[in-house]
Amino acid sequence: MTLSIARTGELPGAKQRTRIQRFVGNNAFWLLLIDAVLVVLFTAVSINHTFISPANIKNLMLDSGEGLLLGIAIAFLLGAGEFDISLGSNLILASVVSGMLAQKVASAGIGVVFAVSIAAAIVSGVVVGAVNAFIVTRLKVNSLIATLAMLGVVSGVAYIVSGGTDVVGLPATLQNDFGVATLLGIPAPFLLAFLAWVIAAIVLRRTAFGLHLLAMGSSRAAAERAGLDTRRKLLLLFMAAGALAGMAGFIDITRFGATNIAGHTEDSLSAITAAVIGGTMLEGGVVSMTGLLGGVVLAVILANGLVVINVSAYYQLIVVGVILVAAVSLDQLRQSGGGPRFRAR
Amino acid sequence: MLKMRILSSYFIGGLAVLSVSALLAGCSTGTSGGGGGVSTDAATKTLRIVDIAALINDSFFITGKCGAQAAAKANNATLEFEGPTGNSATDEIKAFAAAAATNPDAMLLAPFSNTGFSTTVSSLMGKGAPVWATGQTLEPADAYGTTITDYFKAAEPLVQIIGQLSGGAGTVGLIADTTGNTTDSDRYTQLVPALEKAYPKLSVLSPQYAQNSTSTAATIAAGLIQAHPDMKVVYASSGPEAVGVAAAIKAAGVGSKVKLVSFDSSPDQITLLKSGQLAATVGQSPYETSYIGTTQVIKYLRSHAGSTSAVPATATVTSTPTMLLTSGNVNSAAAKTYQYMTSCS
Repeated sequence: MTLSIARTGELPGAKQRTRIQRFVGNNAFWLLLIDAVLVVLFTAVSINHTFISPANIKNLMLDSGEGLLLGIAIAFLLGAGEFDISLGSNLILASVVSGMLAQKVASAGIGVVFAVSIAAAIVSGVVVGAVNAFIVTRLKVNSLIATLAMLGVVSGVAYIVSGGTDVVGLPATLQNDFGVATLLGIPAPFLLAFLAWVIAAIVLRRTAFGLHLLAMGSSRAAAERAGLDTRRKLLLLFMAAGALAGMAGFIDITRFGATNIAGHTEDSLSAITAAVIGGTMLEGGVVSMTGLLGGVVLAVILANGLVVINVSAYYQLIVVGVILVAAVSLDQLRQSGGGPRFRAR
Repeated sequence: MLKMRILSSYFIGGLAVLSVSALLAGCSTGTSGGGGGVSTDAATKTLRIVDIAALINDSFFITGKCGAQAAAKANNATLEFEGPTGNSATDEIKAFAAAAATNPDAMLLAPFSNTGFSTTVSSLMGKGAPVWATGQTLEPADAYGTTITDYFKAAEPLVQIIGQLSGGAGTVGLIADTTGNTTDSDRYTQLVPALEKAYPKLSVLSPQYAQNSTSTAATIAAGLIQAHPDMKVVYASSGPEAVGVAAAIKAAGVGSKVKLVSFDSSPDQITLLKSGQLAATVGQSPYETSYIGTTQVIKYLRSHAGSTSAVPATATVTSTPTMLLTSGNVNSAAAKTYQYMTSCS
């Protein structure tokens, strides 16, 4: 599912391609194919084919949750031609605020603990998103620079709020009843993230907001000339991205039963990588939700699979780098006409 | 006319730069405690000591700060605590050099990596400002002294407990922090050969690195558990790794089969210990380590009042004790002294 506004060279009268041709010509297809090949490879090589065991599939899903939420946020922002490097620190702050408030209401019962915890995480994320939007839209600072600055600011605030250390002693119900809980064998955190992905895909495909954000990414000037209130839409977009980072923060504390304030500052870069490999364009105007899923899954498959097949830590770095280059270059080759002969054109 | 304007703007700009420089210089002189290292009244004056930690938001280093602060307070000195908030040896080297430029009377250094500090250490020592390394030796050994955990002794009870938990056979997973971090690698480089010697049927895997991230540690641990059905123990070299492994074991539901043993005693780890998710962990003495270092540098300065000669570098290493904490002894008075603090109050 790649969505874009018509760009130069895609004239309305151009020869129509079939659905299959369009899908095969889409780099999300190639990415999913790489994912599938890796799954087959890791399954074949792992002892007793444990890579594909139900327990390991659960691991893969658990590992995908936070990355998928941050990936949605970054894909939407990239679609509109914006960046957010501060998502990782936003996640940290949200987890700290959420964890501290959960501690305060620990005795109030499971419902209250969950409601307060998730609401606090989302509100914290939204506030950071709103500040990002203010800097970008009102102070006219490029979003890459603005959010890079906010990465430090938000991390600093998180350290101050937490006293510079991880928040511990969170209510056990957060982990027991959500973080490690499953529904029909599917981890609850992954279900939450997947639900967000489905909603995001619908918003992108079926709503005016989705169309508008792609229009802004394709040509901000044209979108404004067409009467779009880009400033307001960017505010909503950054706030939504913040909310997603907040949800990722909530998932983090429920999964581990503690915060990890030193461990997420590079999460934005991982999310950008997943989105871009999946076909979302850095230049804006094109978002691929299927590709994003493929990109997030690729990272998770590699991180888990290389351990399952006993590849040493140093070789893992090389393998991951080579596969990422292969994934991107395959798409570049396809776009430049040097790719597989059966591509759709 | 235009030329005049340009010239006057350059003049005003230059004046502003000079004023700011003068102001900053004034500020820096004002906070340097006299500057230039040892002064003639060093026998009685309030000394200014700067403590650079590898990770200032980690409870191990915060506990070290508390020890240094207590020693400083008892000896008419002030202590400033600085360092990076993320895992970066480079950032710590920069922070150390920056702090050295403020001409403190002495410095404490808890290094991530034992190389890279030499130039600054030599410069400070040459000016009469002693540098004391805590938690790790420096290469070359150009500090005035070092206090460090006796890792060889710490490995002894670890070998014993891992042997007990595994029954002397099966697989042991090893999840470490980062490569090139000697403070971390010391926690397993002596342990692994000792384990292999004591239990030849035990297979200890090569280390996997989690970069201080709970989620990476969980991903790795989940993969290791899948890959090695005979996994008996996972050894985590520090706090965030232990939290991640505990979450992976809990999510996989293998807590009765796979035991977690770790190094360090952060509040997170103590919580895990009390809940039975962590079988044992090694508590170090960061408080004592920094207390000794601070006392020693102050003693040197007081006894060399008025001297401007270089501080002699020594390879002297003072070992500090460790204790294996288990659910059985965690609440004892002795064990309390090995549990890390999140604040000094």
